[in-house]
Amino acid sequence: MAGGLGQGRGVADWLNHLSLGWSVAFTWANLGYALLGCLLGTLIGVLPGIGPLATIAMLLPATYALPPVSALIMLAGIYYGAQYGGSTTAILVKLPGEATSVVTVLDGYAMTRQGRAGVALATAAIASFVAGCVGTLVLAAFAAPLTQWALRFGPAEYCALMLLGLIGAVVLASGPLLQSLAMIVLGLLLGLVGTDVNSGVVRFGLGRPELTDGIGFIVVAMGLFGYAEIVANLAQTDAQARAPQVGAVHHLWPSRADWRAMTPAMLRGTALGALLGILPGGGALLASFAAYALEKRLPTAAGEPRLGQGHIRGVAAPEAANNAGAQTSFIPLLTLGIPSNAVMALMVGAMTLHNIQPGPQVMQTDPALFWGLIVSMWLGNAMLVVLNLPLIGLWVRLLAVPYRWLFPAIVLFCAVGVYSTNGLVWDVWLVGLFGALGYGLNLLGLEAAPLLLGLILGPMFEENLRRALLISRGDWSVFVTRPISASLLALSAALLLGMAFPAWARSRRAAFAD
Amino acid sequence: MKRAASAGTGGPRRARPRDLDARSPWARELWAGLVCVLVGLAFALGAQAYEMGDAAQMGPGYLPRALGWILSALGLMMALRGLRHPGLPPARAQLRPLLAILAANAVFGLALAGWPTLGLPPLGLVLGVLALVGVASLAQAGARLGPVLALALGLAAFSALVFVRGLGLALPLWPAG
Repeated sequence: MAGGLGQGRGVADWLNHLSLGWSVAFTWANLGYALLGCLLGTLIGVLPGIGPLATIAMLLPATYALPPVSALIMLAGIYYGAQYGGSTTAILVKLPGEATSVVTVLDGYAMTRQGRAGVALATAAIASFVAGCVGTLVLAAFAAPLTQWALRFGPAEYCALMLLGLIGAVVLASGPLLQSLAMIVLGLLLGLVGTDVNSGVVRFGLGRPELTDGIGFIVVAMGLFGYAEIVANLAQTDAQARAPQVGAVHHLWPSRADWRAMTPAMLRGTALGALLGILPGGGALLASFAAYALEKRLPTAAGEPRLGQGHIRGVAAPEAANNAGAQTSFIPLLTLGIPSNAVMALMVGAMTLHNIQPGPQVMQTDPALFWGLIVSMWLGNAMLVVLNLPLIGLWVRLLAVPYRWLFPAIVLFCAVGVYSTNGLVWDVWLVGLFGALGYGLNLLGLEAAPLLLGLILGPMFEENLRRALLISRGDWSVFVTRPISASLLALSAALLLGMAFPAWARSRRAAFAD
Repeated sequence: MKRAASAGTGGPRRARPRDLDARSPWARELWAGLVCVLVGLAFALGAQAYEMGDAAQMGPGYLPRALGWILSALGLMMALRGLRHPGLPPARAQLRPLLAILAANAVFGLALAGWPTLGLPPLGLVLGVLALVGVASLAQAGARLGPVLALALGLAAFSALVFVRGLGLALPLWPAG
């Protein structure tokens, strides 16, 4: 079955792949799951206080009964769908529903105040759609060659790549470097709890039989990102925010001058986002910030408002970037099996849950899954642009739902989700523990996302490290004598050393300081 | 990390909390560093119980010990930086939401599993949901019985329909026996 499709070279093979993907994605069931994922994604994108990470973690156990491709289609839809939803509220009521929409607030809300809310919303949707399509194309184009290249990887290369992924995630993210590195190491350690596959020894099991299989990543994700977020949100706002008033939105379609202004920014944002999404630690968040920073550096024509005062570029660029980044961040996952950020780490978990081993071989052993997912992402983007324009009024009305109605539901979904994975009450106690831990991390200024990344990569990392050293008979130099591994390690070192230079660190802080 | 932002939607403006401007010698970086040192040591020393092996044949204890020491080293660096650059103290913990959420979670667990030593049988999903929502809503001041009850009943019905009937999860709806 696997050998039927070509090596991935040549347009004919590529078209074959896409038609296979089309036949998988275009079934009623998978269209339905894509729609559901996109709807859910838009919904949580609109609602502040809940994000794609927690939602995907909550829904993972529910997808257990679904066929793997349907599960991945739905979960992916949640991630890139959330990028659309966040911009709606950012533009209309200055409330970014998602962290990736924070920069959209600046020009988007300014445009609303100038009565150009409709144009801003349309720009965001159009830019997101174009970028999403391009991102999917990049994914489809690079998948085959990257996979071929990755098949030459040995365990040493995998170790070096994982290390690059972990260090990249830390360096390119916004938190302080030492803290994030420490959280990754802690995550790796927690990932090693349980039975050691090599020796059969149960490590750090504290004598409890439930720990012989280790600490489940769903439990950790729900505790750290579900419960801890809720407590942090409740701790912050004590006054109930009054429901924001939104006027009627007219004149959706941009004028020709608007098109001329937005198109270059859109293309720039798409390119930047597609690139940054692939990098480990990259993804939608970094892409949107970087795209906005770039637009700020470029001159504005006379008569146009400055960036931050309602220039359409300030909406088009970050929205394009965050969507392109969301799509291309699937590339390391689907081609190499390495998650580049915390959401992708959950996708690794989802694949493992469905007995799919993530890695370059997925494209050959399960091409229907691979290409079906990619085509469904394109379809999802099309669905989203249709959903987001006419249904804007509905989404905004949802903002009026007070948080006190929302958070008990989230607690419930987390608790049920966790219990349903194994049917053990132990998991319910554990998720409570991680909720407390997550809040503690929050108080100390430590970030939870690197911890999750380390947790999921821990066992994989150890296995590859062991195998690499077994093959080289204990010779550590194998990591620097093999060329691919050496260059990956050099890149990691360069990233770390770059942090040591105050100029780079300052510009990184400035990029996140708005 | 996301926050339920309340910017620009009215409500009384609070005076800037003292924390935001304070520079304390007991910076959060110092505390974070100390915690990491302790946890790292716990793992590194705990790993001594397992065979180490050598690089070519890594035993179960090899990587945990190494990572434990690395964590402690990172923690030490953090703590030293925290000492040299006094910064924000750890954020003040709000116990009410934390305890309410944890208690709601615990109550749900108890409802599902029961407590044999106390003679409490498993109470089933419906009662569990009611208890969870009731306790969780205590997290915010000003929760009123009417709306909370409505929400609890609504979520209980939703759970029964979607989780048990729809998704087919093996959750008993009513008390056992």
